[in-house]
Amino acid sequence: MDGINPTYFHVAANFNFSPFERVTRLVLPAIIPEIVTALRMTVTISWLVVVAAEMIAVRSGLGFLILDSRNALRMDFVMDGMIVIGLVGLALDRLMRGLGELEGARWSRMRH
Amino acid sequence: MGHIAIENLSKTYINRRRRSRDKENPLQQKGERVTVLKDIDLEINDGEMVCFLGPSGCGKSTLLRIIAGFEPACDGSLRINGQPVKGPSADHIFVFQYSGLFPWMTVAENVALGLRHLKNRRQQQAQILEFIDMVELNGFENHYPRQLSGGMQRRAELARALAVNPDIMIMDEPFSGLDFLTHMKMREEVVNMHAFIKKTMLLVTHNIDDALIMGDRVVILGGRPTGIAMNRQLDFPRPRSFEKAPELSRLRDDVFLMLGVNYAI
Repeated sequence: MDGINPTYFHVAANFNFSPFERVTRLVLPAIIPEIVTALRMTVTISWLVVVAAEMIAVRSGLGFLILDSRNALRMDFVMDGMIVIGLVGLALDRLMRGLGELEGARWSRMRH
Repeated sequence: MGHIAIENLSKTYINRRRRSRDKENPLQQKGERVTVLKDIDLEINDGEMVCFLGPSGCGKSTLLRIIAGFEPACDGSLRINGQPVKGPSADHIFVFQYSGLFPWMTVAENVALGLRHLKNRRQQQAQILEFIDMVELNGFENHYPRQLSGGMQRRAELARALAVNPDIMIMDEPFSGLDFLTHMKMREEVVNMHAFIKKTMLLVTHNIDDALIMGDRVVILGGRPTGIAMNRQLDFPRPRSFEKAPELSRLRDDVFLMLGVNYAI
């Protein structure tokens, strides 16, 4: 909220916005670009953390698959696991970048 | 109706950070009081175009913000059409110094903010186009503010303000940051618009020529704390020019002198 230009709140008051409109027409659109940027940075990191955690904590999942196959000397499964992890990571990044290209998230970029 | 009556209006800011805490003298703790506006008396008639001039930092913008209801006055009374001002409202629309357009909405959506009361979509669309047409932005309805030039953004904001059909339009330096030609064109447009819609317009400017050419009245604020230094009706015929009206030219020299410039260039 503090990052939003206070002028916009004055405009909202000037145009008799209801509290609901103030959220839907002002606060949400104003913060969407930042949310998308933050998501893009954190989603890929969290994906890595998930895989790493699977290696340690649980007995299922991609991380566990790699670790288990290594112990069983099945290098083909290890490679498969690595490729899948990479592809999912790429897909997540693409998705987030796609979100950033949506019109709602683009307004804050490029002031001429 | 856009009649404004201001009586004995004062505004004081408290500067809390000026001094470190002083335990022995608790009165001092509240900080230094800075009186910005003191005993302003002003009456503005319906349909008047009033230009406010004054050195920078003298409280012109503060006065306008109080009239718009964004800030409360500390003392005195402010009535619009006989009613005390309680807060911002759609009856007095403020046009901001820097773009107040919502950058996440297209021009048409921004203008539509003032027409939300129309439930009939087709009627609303027609009105939006009418106002966009009025500021000659047709073809740019679906552009976002960042895709427009500075002058076009100002015009879009004017359209948005006009769409509300306010009693009073308050403009804080509407031409600052525009190039010379755009400035001249905008000035002409605002004057024509005022002649056309006949609303009360308050306009803060640094540009003495703007004030003298546009205003039905100029109000010069000055001194510290700020009071009204000059309040003068301008009855010159339009279109005005300094060459045609020697008296206007003389007044211009006076104003320059009053604002601390000893020779008008």
